[in-house]
Parts: sequence; structure tokens; C-alpha cells
Amino acid sequence: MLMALAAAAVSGFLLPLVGGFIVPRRLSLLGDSSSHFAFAAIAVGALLGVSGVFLAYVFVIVGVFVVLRLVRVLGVSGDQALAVVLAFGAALASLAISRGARVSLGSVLFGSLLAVDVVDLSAGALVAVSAAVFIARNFGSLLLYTLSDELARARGVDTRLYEFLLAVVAGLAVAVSVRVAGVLLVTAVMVVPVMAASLLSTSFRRFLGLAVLFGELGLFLGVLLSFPLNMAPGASSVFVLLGILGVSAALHRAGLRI
Amino acid sequence: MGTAEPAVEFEDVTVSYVRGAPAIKDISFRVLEGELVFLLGPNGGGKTTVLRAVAGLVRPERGVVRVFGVDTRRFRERWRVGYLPQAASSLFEDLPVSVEEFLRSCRVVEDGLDPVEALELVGAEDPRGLLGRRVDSLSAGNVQKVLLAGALANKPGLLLLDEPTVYLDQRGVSALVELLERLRSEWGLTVIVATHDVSAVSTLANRVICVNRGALFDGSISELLGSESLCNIYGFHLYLVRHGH
Repeated sequence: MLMALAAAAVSGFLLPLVGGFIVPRRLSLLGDSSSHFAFAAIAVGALLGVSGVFLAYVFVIVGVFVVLRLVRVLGVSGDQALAVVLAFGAALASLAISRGARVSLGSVLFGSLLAVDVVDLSAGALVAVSAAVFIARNFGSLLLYTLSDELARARGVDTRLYEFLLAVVAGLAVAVSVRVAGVLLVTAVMVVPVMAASLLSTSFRRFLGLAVLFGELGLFLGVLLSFPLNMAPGASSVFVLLGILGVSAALHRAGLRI
Repeated sequence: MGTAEPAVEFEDVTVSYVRGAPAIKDISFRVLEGELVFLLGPNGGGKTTVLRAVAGLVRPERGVVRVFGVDTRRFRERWRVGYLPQAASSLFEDLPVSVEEFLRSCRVVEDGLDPVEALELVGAEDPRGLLGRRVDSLSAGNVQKVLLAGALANKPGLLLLDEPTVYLDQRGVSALVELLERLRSEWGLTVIVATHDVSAVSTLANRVICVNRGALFDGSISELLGSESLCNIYGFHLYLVRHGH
């Protein structure tokens, strides 16, 4: 239980923090495509008898690279490229399972409290600290990049580099969170807190802070509720997050801004 | 003005977004430091492409664009160029960014303007009160001022404005013109303004370059009004009444 709560703390911090930059750029599907690549990694890892976690890091970075190349080289839109990669990840996972990979589908798709170990947690904490330092040191450039690729480039920001680094961080965030939140639900932890926070915030810093607060609240309560409700932690977290979104929308309509 | 160096040079520049369909073709002109130049032409005529080429956002297919004597492909001091893109106010929709955050993110040099200084410069009312406001909660005119303040935050030597009068009333246009004139004399600022608003240009006695794929006219507003170029560019006769400002 403590391991699951610690994992919830890491994911609740990391996913909304990165989502704060990814979602406004309309790249929310990056979470889904990364989670499906992580799913493929877990299935292939089970088939080959190697750690699915580290394989997931490699897979999501490859997936992110493929998405960005598709956008740049073929000129397809971001959501089209992400949809292609998402489908490929799911197909790869299906192939591995049909070849005999033993995967607990319920745990992988909807999250599990028992799936987290010390190695996962350490890797997640490392990614979270790295992401926080990266964002803090490059806040102004990242803000301009989030607003407009063109505005940022005109100010001398290397937007390709930022795009790649953000996408890699987002992919890794999903890879470290997929065990506790589940393949199908992990993106919700990246997107829903960001949506709720944007309704109530008057600045980007407060927006990121609120998103992280909502993410932590959603995953913590989700993990705690998953025991008495006897449901997967990913599912209970999503219910809590949707509740937070509903309350935020009501407060927004009432005129509350922070 | 006679000894001024070129701030911007176009040498036979062609830019294409789609192969075989150039947005601008074989354009050559020079803008000297301290000049205020208007790019005039119809929608889709290539004015924005000219500004984007100066800002280093598109690479010429042929020819060379130089900014302060350096080829834009090697120009690294981007802070020396302030850029206000077209319809930039839409960038802030539904994004919780405060005025202060935006202006701080625009400033990259130590001796640039702090947010209050930048807002005062562009004539924003109650600059301190604006700092904590979300940009998307402001009126279109105020958003335009915030964006202009951002473009000036690094005290650039060259300012590129793409359709800056779209959200401004006549008073706003006059204030913008006064500001640009003041910055030219105080900072030696070079300004290139792209607009399709012929009436806005007609209130100013400055150099005009007419662009419709190629550069069709380069001269003063008086010469432009006395020529057939406007008719050639727009395809029909325009009759302009000049007002003082």
C-alpha cells in the first residue's frame, strides 16, 4: 500500500506537470500513444522474460521519435501521427500476447497496487525530479513554446529541441505511471487535472501548481478508495479526478479565480 | 540617415511553402537603420512571408536575407528583432497566462524592459493593474498592446509588425504611429509594418513597399498615391484621402 501511495505521489506530480505543456499544444494523444507503447513493452517483456519497465522507457522514446518524424517529414498533423503510433503499440502488444506473453490484462489496462516495485518508484522519482528541474530552468522558453511555435522561434527558442524533450519527458512520465494508473486510464491523469486547473487559474504558474495539486489529490484518493471499493486504482482515480473537474467547473461558473 | 547601415537586405529572394508556388518571388530591397517602412499589398500577396523571412521563420529557396548584415541562416541574436505576428491575440485563448508571465518570458536580455516599463512604453492604462490579469481576459486592443510590449521587451533594433492595426480604433492607430516615431528617434529603431489597410498607410508620410508576390513599388506614400501601382496591386482603382495626424 505504501509503495502504491508513493507511486501515486510521483505520478500525481509528474503527469499533470508535463500535461500543463502538452495539453495546450493539443498533443494529449501523446499520453495514449505512449501508454500503448508501454503496453507493448510490458507484453514483449513478458514474452522475452525481461523487465517490461525499462523496455517501456525505450519503447516510448522510440514512439515519441516516430511521432515527431511523421509530423516533420510527412507533414501529417500531430493527432494523425499519434493515432498511427497508438494503433501500432496496441497491435504489437496484441501480437506478443497471441504469441504467449503472460500478461494480467486487468492490471495492465486499469492499473494495479501490487505492480509497483522499488525500481519503478526510483525511476519515477528520478524522472519527476529531472522534469521539475528542466521546467523550472526553462520556464520562459517553455511558456512561449506552449503559446506559439512561431513566437518562440522568433525569440530564438529552439522549438524542435523543446518539443522533443517535452515529448520524451511526457513519454517517460506515462511509462513510469502506467503500472499504477493503467494503460487505458493514465492519460486521464495527464489531461483532467490540467483541464480543471485551467478553469480556475489566473497565471501559468498557478495553473501548473493547481494541476499538480489536483493530480496528487486524484491519485492519492483513488489509491486509498481502490481498497474499500475493490476496484483498480486507475479507475477510482479517474472517478475522483472527474469529480474534481466537476467541482472546478462549478467554481468557475461561480466566478472563482485563483 | 545618409550614413545609416542596412538593417534588412533582401537580394533576389524567393520563398515557397509549396514547391513551384512561390509566396514571394525575386524580391530585392533594403531597409536602413532607423527607417519606418510599410509593406502594403492584398491578402495572400506575401507581406507576412517577407516578415517571416526577416524573423528567420522561413528560409529562402533562392536569394539571401540579411539582418544587421548577417545572413538570417546564421543570425543568432534574435532578441535584436521584435516580432508581432498576425492575429497573435488568439494564441492566448483558454490558456491561463498572466500579462506579467508573458512579458517576463519575452525578455531575454539583462538590460531589457521589465513588464511595467514595457506596458508604460506602449501606453497601456494602469500597467501595474494589468500584470496579474490573464491575457485572454483583456480586450482585443489591450492584448495587442501586451503583445507589442512583448515585442519591445528586449529593446530591439528592428521591429516587425504584422497587421498591427487590426484590433485598433483610429485613436489606437494614431497612438501606435506616435510610439513608432518616438522609438525611431530615441532608440534608432527600424520598423517594418505589414498591412493591407491602405487608409492606415495613407495617414503616414513614409516609405512604402508594395508586395504582391514580387515587389511592385518602392517609394514614398506621395509617389504611391500619384502612381498606377495601387491599381496594379489591387486590380481596381483606389481613391485615398490623406488626413493629418
